[in-house]
Amino acid sequence: MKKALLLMLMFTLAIGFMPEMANAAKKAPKPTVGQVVTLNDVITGSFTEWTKETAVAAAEKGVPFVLLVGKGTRAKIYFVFNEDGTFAGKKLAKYAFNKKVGILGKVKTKNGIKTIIAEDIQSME
Amino acid sequence: MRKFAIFTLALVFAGLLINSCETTTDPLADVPEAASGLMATSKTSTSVRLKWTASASESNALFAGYELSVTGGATAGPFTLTAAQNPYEVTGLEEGTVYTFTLKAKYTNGEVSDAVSVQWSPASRFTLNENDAEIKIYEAASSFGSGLVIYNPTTGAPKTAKVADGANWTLGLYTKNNEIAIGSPSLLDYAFGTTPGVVEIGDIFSGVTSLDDVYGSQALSSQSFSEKKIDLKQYSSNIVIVLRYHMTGQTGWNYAKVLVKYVSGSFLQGPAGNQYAELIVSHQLVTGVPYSKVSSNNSDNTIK
Repeated sequence: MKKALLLMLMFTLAIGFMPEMANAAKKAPKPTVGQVVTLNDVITGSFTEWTKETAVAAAEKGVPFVLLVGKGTRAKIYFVFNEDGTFAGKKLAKYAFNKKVGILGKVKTKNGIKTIIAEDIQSME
Repeated sequence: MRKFAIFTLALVFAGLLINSCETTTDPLADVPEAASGLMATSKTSTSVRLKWTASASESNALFAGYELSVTGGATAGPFTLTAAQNPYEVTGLEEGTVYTFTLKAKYTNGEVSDAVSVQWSPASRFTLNENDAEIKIYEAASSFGSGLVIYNPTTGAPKTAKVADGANWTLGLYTKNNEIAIGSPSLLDYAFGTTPGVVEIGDIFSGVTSLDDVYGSQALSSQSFSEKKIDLKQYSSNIVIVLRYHMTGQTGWNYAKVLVKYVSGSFLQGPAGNQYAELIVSHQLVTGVPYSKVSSNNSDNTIK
């Protein structure tokens, strides 16, 4: 009887503390951090110094802006999409003058192409 | 008889003289009562919105509207406004110039009331940051910045900044130790590499829907300023913070108002771990212009 009571008490305490423990364990989702560049620059290896205005004008003309994460041969390219499924190149262009940009959202790889469905984009300077 | 004739002639002449010297003002003519409580708020870098308590003469049949004149920079007006044009937005102004707005009620008989005036300067309004996105500052646990640089001279707009850029913070969000606070960066417990500059906070307004609700008729510099950390848990509506800081390279104060949005019962929005407070900024770019100067003939100097 005493054992059963003790077990019940432990069970109740465990249930009570579970949400707290879960919260403590839950970490803030980390953004994917990199630099906004154009595909053209990635291919040529010569990176343009953009202002917001020149980058937006380029994006309007159809120049694709992507997120470049890492450097050198290990660098990865992420194509960024809006939550409605449209390509977010024009939005990304507004961050092309920032040295470091973070994107929060779902990251997927399909047929070797990395994509992010952007929920939030911020400069990380 | 001759004397009498001369006397009569002199009397008639004097009468004519007196009559010709009479002024055209009718002392019994109706004169409208003045408006009161003329106040202003900066709408954009080129416009100021005015509002006032209506003249008691608005209901008089002779009421012919208001006459508004603008002096300071390029003089404008007088504009004739109807009673329905209150509040009224004056456009075509220049940021940093303190204008005097003078309002008189007028009647169809040409009579005008005493003037009431307020001095004010337009200020830039920012609803978006330098990347054309909403202005957000994030909780301490987030990888995104918890600080606001109210004006980045390079881009001409506000930006979110991380602790590493703490020297340039104008406001910070603090969400550690079960606190939700916003305030002067130096009072927030962050490990800044470089000490943030002095940012002083004046009045705090609650219960407002937008920055347009915060009118004033006195210079912001007349408020009591000090470094403050504001406990957001004590508010349950949008708040507007009046602040002043030193722009890089300036010794005088730059003044600003910041609206902190309260959405769906909280100042913090977004997903757990990356929650943020959303801000709207009214910023006076010109150093030493506290939006206004104290006006002498405006009886109602309360704000809002």
